[in-house]
Amino acid sequence: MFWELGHLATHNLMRARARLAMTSGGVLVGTAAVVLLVAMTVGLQTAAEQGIGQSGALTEVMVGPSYEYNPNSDVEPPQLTPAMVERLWRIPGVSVVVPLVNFQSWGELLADDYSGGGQIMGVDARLLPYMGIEVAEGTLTLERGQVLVGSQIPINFYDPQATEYRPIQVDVLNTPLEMRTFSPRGEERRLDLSPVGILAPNPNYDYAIIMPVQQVISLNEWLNGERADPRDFKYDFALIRAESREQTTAISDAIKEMGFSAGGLGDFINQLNGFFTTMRLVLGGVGGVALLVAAFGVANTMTMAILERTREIGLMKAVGATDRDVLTVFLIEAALVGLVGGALGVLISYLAGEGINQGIANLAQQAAQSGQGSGPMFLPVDISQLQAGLVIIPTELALFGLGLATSVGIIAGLLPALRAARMTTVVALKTE
Amino acid sequence: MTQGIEVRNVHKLFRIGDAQLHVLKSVSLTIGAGEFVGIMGPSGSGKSTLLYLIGGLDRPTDGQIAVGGARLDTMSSDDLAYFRSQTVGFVFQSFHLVPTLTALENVALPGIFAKVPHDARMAHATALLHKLKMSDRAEHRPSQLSGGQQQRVAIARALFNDPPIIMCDEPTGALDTQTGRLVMRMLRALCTRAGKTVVVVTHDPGIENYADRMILLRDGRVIDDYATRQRPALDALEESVPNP
Ligand SMILES: Nc1ncnc2c1ncn2[C@@H]1O[C@H](COP(=O)(O)OP(=O)(O)O)[C@@H](O)[C@H]1O
Ligand SMILES: [Mg+2]
Repeated sequence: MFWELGHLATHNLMRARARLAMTSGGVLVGTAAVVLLVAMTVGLQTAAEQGIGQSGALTEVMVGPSYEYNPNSDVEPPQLTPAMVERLWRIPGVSVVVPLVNFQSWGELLADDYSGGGQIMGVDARLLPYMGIEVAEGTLTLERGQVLVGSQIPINFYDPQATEYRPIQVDVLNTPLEMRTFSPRGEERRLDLSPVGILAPNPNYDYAIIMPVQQVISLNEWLNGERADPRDFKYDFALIRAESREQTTAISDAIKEMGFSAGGLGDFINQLNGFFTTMRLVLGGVGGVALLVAAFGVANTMTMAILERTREIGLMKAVGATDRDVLTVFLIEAALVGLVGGALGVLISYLAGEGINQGIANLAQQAAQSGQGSGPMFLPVDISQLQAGLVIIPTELALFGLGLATSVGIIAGLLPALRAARMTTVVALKTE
Repeated sequence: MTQGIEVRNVHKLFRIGDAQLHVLKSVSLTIGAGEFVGIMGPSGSGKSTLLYLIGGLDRPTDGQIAVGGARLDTMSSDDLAYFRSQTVGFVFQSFHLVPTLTALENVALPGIFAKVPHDARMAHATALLHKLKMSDRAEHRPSQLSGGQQQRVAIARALFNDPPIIMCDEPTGALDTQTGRLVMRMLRALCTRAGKTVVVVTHDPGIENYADRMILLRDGRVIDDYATRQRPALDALEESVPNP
């Protein structure tokens, strides 16, 4: 029955092809606008997330003393005492807290005749697996006297005797290594180090020399010339691993509430997502306005069609059509106008998207050839990151476009169709 | 079940702006099953209005109408649609064919709303067109047919659901005399051979040669109701008339 009525509806549509084309054209423009604009935000977001890379970093939150504390105020900014670290562990969504201590001076590294250096930080060896670091060479272990060095350290040694600075690479895993540092009292201290691993590149630790935390604490005591009071002990910063990326924002907020500074890539991405959601709504809204205009077109066309075919409506009723049958015929007709426009709109979106992506690929290539770096600046992302394209149309978006266009047709056609269904048979039949 | 038509004290008023037009004034009449009744009267006397009321296309302002015992004046609009689908077939002066559909599809149209499956519908419509000697025009659009041919398609459509009653509003009004006569013969045959009740509104006095009975309307009232002098002999009818 539904198909039969649909058949009648298509017959009617084919009769007024020019009008169908114009009305569907309106829906086409609206659908293409919605789909393309939303597809663009999908592309930008994909590019942004790809640019950030490293999934491990997404669940990290870095915690440190707040910089926002007023130095003139009497209130001391909160410190990362062991008790505070305890509290961090209890924040919902936190899976691990890795507190770290910095060596309060610079550590110079001596390898044969060459000199290098890095920032010494101490970590509880048991928490090492949760730091989100990997070794490029060696092993990820840490015992007394052992160190892990950041990726930049082995390649940034230099010859102190040379007149000109030139970075030298040292095979730190197989070269006897000594650390030298000076206290404010002018004393020199030397320490034999045995590196067991070189870290994979990671911006947080590229210049780090990671040691067992107890050793760093003793070094700091030597530096300050006094034994640390365990009651005054505090960590310099802490790395928190969240159970999921979504939770990082809430965790950051909770930590800021406690008076610390907190942040991380996951938190950043969450904010980015918020931005893209807003952008999607705004751009989708722009397309939506186009669809709204198209809806008026559909309503107008359906009203015209129904006026033109009043006699036919009367006839259908005279041969047994119920009000509901008439309603169905015209709603199918309106839905088809929407669907046809929507299908063409989605098709055009795919084609246009293909064209835009191609154009951007060309731009990126030109920019690369002319050595100008990232090319045009009107985009918020480096276009070289847009490997997947600026316009990405997921299947869900295409289906959404089709559904939206069809719904627009049905909704716009509802009033005219109801009017057709309620016509008095005799009056409709007699209409000239 | 008898398909007699009973009309009791029916009034029909039309509201035109502030004015009211009293078109039917207490009309009462009975039409028996299998009768061929002609309704005549001057233009504007309310003939079509009466026909549409007993065909369930409109409702009376007052009074009762029953067809086959079922009250049309109190029926729900869905039941009225079903009544129009199953009990009456309409033939109009201006044919009222759907211009985008072929002759065959036009004949089959009532089958859609009667929920007849596609194949059965087309087969039945083909058979009807064949009986009306219109097989060779099945794929033509209404615009490609003469008036007489269009009216034959319309008659075939009226017969599609095999309704017991055929109602015609000036069926020959748009046809030449010759063709009009052929249509009247067909209607007569439907009454005589198939036992259909036929009600024909016209102002062609020639109707008396085909009808069993005449009802005359003037100014919204029945002013005369009489049996025609002689029933036309069936052998006067053409061989080509349908025998559904
Ligand atoms: N739907 C309507 N609205 C208003 N007036 C109508 C309507 N239908 C018919 N009339 C009026 O009712 C009167 C009778 O019409 P009708 O039954 O068609 O007459 P007939 O068929 O006898 O020529 C006419 O004056 C006509 O103008
Ligand atoms: Mg009339």
